Amino acid sequence: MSDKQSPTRAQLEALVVSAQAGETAAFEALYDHFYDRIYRYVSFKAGDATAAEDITEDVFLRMLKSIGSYKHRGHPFSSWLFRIGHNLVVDYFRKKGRDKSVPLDKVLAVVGESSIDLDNYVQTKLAMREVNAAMEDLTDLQRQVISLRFAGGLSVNETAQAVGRNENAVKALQHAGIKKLRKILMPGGAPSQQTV
Amino acid sequence: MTPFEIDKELDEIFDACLDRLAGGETVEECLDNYPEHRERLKTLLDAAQTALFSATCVTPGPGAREKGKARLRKQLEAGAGAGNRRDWRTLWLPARIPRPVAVPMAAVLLLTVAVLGTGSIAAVAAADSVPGDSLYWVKRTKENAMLSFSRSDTGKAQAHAELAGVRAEEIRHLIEQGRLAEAENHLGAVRDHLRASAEHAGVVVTMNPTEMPSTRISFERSAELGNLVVTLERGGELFRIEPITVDGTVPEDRQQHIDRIRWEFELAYRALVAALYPDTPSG
Repeated sequence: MSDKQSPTRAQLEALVVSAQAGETAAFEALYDHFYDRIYRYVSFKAGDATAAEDITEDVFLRMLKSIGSYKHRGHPFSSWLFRIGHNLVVDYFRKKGRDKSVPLDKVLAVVGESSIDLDNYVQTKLAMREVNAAMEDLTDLQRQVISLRFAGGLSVNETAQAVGRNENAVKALQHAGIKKLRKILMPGGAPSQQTV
Repeated sequence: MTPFEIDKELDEIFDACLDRLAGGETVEECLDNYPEHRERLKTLLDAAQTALFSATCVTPGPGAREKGKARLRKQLEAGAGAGNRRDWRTLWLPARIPRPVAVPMAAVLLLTVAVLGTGSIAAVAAADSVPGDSLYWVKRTKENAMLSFSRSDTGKAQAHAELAGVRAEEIRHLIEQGRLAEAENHLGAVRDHLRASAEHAGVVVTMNPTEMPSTRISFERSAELGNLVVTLERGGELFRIEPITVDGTVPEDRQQHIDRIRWEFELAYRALVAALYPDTPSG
């Protein structure tokens, strides 16, 4: 679930080493590579377009501040970065007064320029509303795995490292999570709306 | 094939299909490869595609990416990066100080460094020590000295919460060195710090809430202790953020031992977080 032209893991680790040495170009390359995925992940979890942009900025500022403490130790940089994202989303909800429910208009405001066609826009809004509501019924771990895999675009291995489980557990969690989502989204067995 | 094996096989197939959907293939194209599982897979993949679409159709507002990048650049220029190293000369001989003043000042500084050096070197060397190392007492003495600087109860609660995280890193090192019994014993030090943190935060932590319910913190105080809860939540997830890595294949009984240590560690944190914030959000 990663971009086709993504740098390899070794190339990314080399960028991280350069960033740790203070190279501006390396920081910018990491920013360019991860920005969209972090944004999608944060907006999927936070459900608020403005907040998602702010949190995404903060993720990279936190990366800048803490990259010296990142140690490879066999697990990928992406897992470390998405953990920062996860923690900042948790902080965001805490500051909001520990209210995890997201107003519908804010969820829908996340839909960006990619859906300018009216029909698509309406369907996107409906899909997002249903998925967002259905996600609330998953366990924390299922929700976390699906957010990382679907919105963050992390591989199974990266997701496993981010949530501290093995790869088989991640595969089982995503399977169980989607099975539960299916029951909520498509109670009769048929899709409630057209998908892309 | 047992039901367990069938489920495992479906997990694998489903995962492969997810990657293909994310790569732009259709549900039908995926199903064509697994005709024997078509019925079970179809509804799952339809739901997965809806979720995938919902998760990936979002885009940041115009200019958001550039705005964030500009902010990052600004911080980089200000030298906020952990990797940015200042020129060592600027650390002790700023250009604005006239040379006749700067040179004696530097000499005094060097003398001070020389006098304090022995202790400092020992403290630095002890930073990564673990129980059983010869310099471990230096590390703990330094921590105790630092604890005494915290005057407020909230400060002390925070300091103990952070030290529990230091003990956790030591547990990680002990496990990685194969010293499981010592790692398990060291859980006591984590609990001691968390207990001290709880006392300074003004809560009673109990494993049996029926016999002795946890003290609820008032709203005003909970705001004051927000940082503490964040520290504790992150501390409790230390072994998830950076999983413990042990070289080679670990026998099952040792893996169970490691898991037990990890669970007990997390339980100690969760008990305190639950006492501080009974309705802490998660996920």
